[in-house]
Amino acid sequence: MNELLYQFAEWLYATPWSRAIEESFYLYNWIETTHVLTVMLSLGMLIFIDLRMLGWVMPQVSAVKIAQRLNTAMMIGFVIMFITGILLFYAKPTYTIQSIWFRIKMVLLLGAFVNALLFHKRMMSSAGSWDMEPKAPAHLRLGAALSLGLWAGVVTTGRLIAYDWFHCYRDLPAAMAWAAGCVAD
Amino acid sequence: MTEPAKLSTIEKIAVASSVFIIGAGIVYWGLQVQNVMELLEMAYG
Amino acid sequence: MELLPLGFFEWAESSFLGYIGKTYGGIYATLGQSVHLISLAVLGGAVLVSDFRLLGWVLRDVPSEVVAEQAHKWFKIALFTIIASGVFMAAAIAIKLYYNSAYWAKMYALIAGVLFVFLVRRPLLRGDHSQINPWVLKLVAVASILVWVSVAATGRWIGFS
Repeated sequence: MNELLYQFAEWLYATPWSRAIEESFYLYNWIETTHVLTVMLSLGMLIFIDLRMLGWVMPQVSAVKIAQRLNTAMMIGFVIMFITGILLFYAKPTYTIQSIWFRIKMVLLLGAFVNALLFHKRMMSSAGSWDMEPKAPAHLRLGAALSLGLWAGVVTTGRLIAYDWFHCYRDLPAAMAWAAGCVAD
Repeated sequence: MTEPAKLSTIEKIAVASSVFIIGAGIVYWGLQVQNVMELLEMAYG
Repeated sequence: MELLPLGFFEWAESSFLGYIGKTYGGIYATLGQSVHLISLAVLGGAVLVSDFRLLGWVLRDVPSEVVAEQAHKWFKIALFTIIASGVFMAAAIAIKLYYNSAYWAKMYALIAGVLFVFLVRRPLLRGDHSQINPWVLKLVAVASILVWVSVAATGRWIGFS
């Protein structure tokens, strides 16, 4: 599995555009800046939706209305983040695929995605009964808190990808080297 | 709008400071773009 | 250009805060950078939710007074944590920052943003929005988005330049 992922990363690395992006100071750094700045839009909206469920913002306004009205802006943010994120990976595939932080980030992202799907389904199936309450029901509040926690983890591990404290050329315990997917230095 | 808009003092201050910020932003980012263009031109001709 | 003398930055870097940030990379990256980014998300949400509302893009069926007032509450919380984590990070690399033009651009933008929010935007939006010329509201929203995106962008470029 790790071998296969690394081979794929090597193949990406060898494509001309991957080299061009990584070697371009302005292109790479502006893609990075866009990726980071878009948290203001995507996570900004997400945080406001989650805070509304917890009853900490606009408690007098319908929770479902907040979730639905901020959804488009949030999604636009996530699309930009996704595209710039893929480009960042594409520019440094062999480094990133062997980063333990990147791998934890992907697991947390998957968790946040599944949590969001479940949350949405549960919110829509019970919306009418609690919509105007200052706080959402306990199971939805848990989902909102989980969403905030998972995304805080995504941001943190995302930032840590830049640090090579646990990279494959370090002396790592076997389990960590496996988790990081160390195939080459 | 049919009637001429009369702005209150705080509205006037808001317009002036907003225009200042937008102007300064355009100048700053414009200069950044210009610098990069010049640098790339020097490097690649 | 520089708002404070080099001596201040030398002192900051030799302070206890600067020592912690310089010595412990893990604390710098998490309590510094990561908290800074999470606060940026909250600050971005507060700014964009209320400015998009003023522009008529979101929450059109919620009074913009309510949106502005509630968003401002979270703006203040985010601003506090973003400045606290920012000061911690800055102390660790203070002398480098003194010679960094992106850092000074960010400080000017930050000062402009804070003054704009607390002296202009908030006093304006505290009243009844229907009494305010809609074009003034839109202009204020555009300036607000521009200034905070600029603070964030110049902030990111501190690390690149």
